[in-house]
Amino acid sequence: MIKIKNIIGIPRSLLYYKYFPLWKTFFEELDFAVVVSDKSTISTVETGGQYTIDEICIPLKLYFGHLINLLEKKVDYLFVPRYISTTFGTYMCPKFLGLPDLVRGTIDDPPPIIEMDIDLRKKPKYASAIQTGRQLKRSLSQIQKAYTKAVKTYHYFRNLMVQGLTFQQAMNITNGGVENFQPKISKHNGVKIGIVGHGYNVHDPYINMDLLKKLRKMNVQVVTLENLPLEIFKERTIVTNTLKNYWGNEEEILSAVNYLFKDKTLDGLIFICSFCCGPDSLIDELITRDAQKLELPYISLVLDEHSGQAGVVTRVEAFVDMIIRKKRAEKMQPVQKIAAKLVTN
Amino acid sequence: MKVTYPHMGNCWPCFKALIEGMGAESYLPDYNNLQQLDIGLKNSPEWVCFPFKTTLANFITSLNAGVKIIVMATDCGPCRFGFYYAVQERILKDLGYEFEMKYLPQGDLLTFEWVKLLKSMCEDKSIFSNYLVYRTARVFLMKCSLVQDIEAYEGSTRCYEINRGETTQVVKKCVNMVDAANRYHELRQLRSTIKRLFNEIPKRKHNGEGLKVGLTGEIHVTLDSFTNHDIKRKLGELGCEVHMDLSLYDWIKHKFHVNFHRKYIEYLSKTHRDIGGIQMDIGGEAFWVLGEYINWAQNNFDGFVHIYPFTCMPEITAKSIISKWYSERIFDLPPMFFAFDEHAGEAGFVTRLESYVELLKTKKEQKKKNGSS
Repeated sequence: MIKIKNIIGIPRSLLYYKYFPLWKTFFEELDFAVVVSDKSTISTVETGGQYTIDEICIPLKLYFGHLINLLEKKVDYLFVPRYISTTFGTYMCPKFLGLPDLVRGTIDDPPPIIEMDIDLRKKPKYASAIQTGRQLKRSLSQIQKAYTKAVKTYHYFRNLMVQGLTFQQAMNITNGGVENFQPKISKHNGVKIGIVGHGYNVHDPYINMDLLKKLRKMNVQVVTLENLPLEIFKERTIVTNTLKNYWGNEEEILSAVNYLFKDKTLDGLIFICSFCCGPDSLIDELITRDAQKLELPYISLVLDEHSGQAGVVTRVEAFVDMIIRKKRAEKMQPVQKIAAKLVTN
Repeated sequence: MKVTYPHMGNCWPCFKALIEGMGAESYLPDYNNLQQLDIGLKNSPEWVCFPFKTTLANFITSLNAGVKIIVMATDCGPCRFGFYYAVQERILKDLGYEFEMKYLPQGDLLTFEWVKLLKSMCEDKSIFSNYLVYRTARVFLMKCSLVQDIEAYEGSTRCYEINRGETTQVVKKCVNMVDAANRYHELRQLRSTIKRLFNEIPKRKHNGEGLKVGLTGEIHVTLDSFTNHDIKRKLGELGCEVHMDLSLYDWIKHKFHVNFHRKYIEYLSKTHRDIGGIQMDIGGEAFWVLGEYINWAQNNFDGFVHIYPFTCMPEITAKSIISKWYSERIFDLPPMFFAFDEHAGEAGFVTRLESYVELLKTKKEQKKKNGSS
């Protein structure tokens, strides 16, 4: 007799772009099949928009679109985690805090929701894992085994990204199970641009209109937040003398930005944020002011479902062109100086 | 030492008492107005929530008047409010002002961090300053409680007044009286005076047939009449008894962990888990807005108005859930939502409010007919 596995559906949005390898391994080890929703398209946003109100940010609209997509796939469970804080003393955005409630409140008769509370201010990670496993009626030893393996996979995946791979590449390798992978260094024209932002904005090609690919086509070396060394995320960032940042996602962005600002080879910084995003509106202001002081080219792209592709591409192209010209002018300067000296003499 | 603080509706006498009680001189900027707002808009980030802009405008006005110390409240919660003072300090320093930004941590008042702030405003550093802190806090709490009283009377009186505008005048008079009294026993006597003044307003005869409308939302927007386009007065003039549990006193009680009304509505929200009741404080007032909605629906209210600044993250979550609840008729309490920002047009807002109240009236009449037949 073939044992039919129960299916857990995971929407391809929000924290999928950060923790998916961890979740997948954990549930597969617990003897479940994992199904991910289809890639985001315009219809995903449209269906999501019907279930949410109009003022909510686009990642959340996409999230509901993906949930509906999963319901069509007839999953047995929906995985909607409640990430309260991921490091000690921080909070996630309020929308993450109320996500399971929002899903229960807006979708009619959803399949059983696996609600995983991650709250590092109060309890350690493994406690959440045990709680989740017990919800699914699995034994403690099985949960422990699954948890260790999941964490190992997650670290492997993270290390791949630190080596300079994109999200999709790292994901393919982790899923394929290739070990000891050596990434190739791609060609570029000497322009290095840092891209910061929430994982679900930077790595979702629908929201950001495939910006990363377009930049790579322009032969630009792209550094995303996940490609930076892991050590920089360990210390809490300080916004002013008196205030410590308390948002989990923004903590990462700010540490990354602080690290990138010290990098002398960096030529420009792009901040991708979605319209209506609360934390980003203030973080953006802080980064803008810091970048102004350093005279580093900086652009913040505010995206929502109405953004026209042409407008975004034009802005980014102009940004890259400007950097290239600036570099050329810097190179020319010594020559011009000598020429000017000769003329005066 | 001149100290300034931002406006929040009728709460200015309370903050003033807090500063003057400690022996510092307080400076109150003009009440929020459009000219002031323009300065705030120019210097704030584009899509930050609205209270940031009005408070920044207050600060710039005060700094132009030569104030050197600003006091701003802060929180440690998940919403944007905790970042306000830091970003505002940064913006103002970049504008070239020289000042000191003091922050009042109010995430949990039982940590007594606010004592440090109060003492820093006091020139007397001896042990006697402890007594001063106690006296100031007592007067402050009393003033907050009186302001809450005033707002409660205002909501229940305005819809029955005969001479339009009289309630508004009495409210102004009462707030000024609260401001003028600085001793605890004077304030205690004021409570009955306020009650008498509101009772003396000529009212038409009624047996409570006015529409019962609950008003709630994000605290700054709900209390500040400039930000919310005086929604409380407009609702009252349209014939609605406005019930509002939200006030500064309520908030402070909550932060001292003795607000049992809020505990009750938290419980209501938590017990409705299966249909989407929020399980924990997610910042803003979302948790209590949901509880309040259930509470008022169970108490046969006629309407529910939820107001919040545009792009407020927690309130949007609450809005999504409430609108779903009403569309499925889980609770029979028609909600109305208003998001406020600087682009709000007065006429459109009034039209929406009027039609909402008309609908409520029709609904109530229909209910009566069904009940009698």
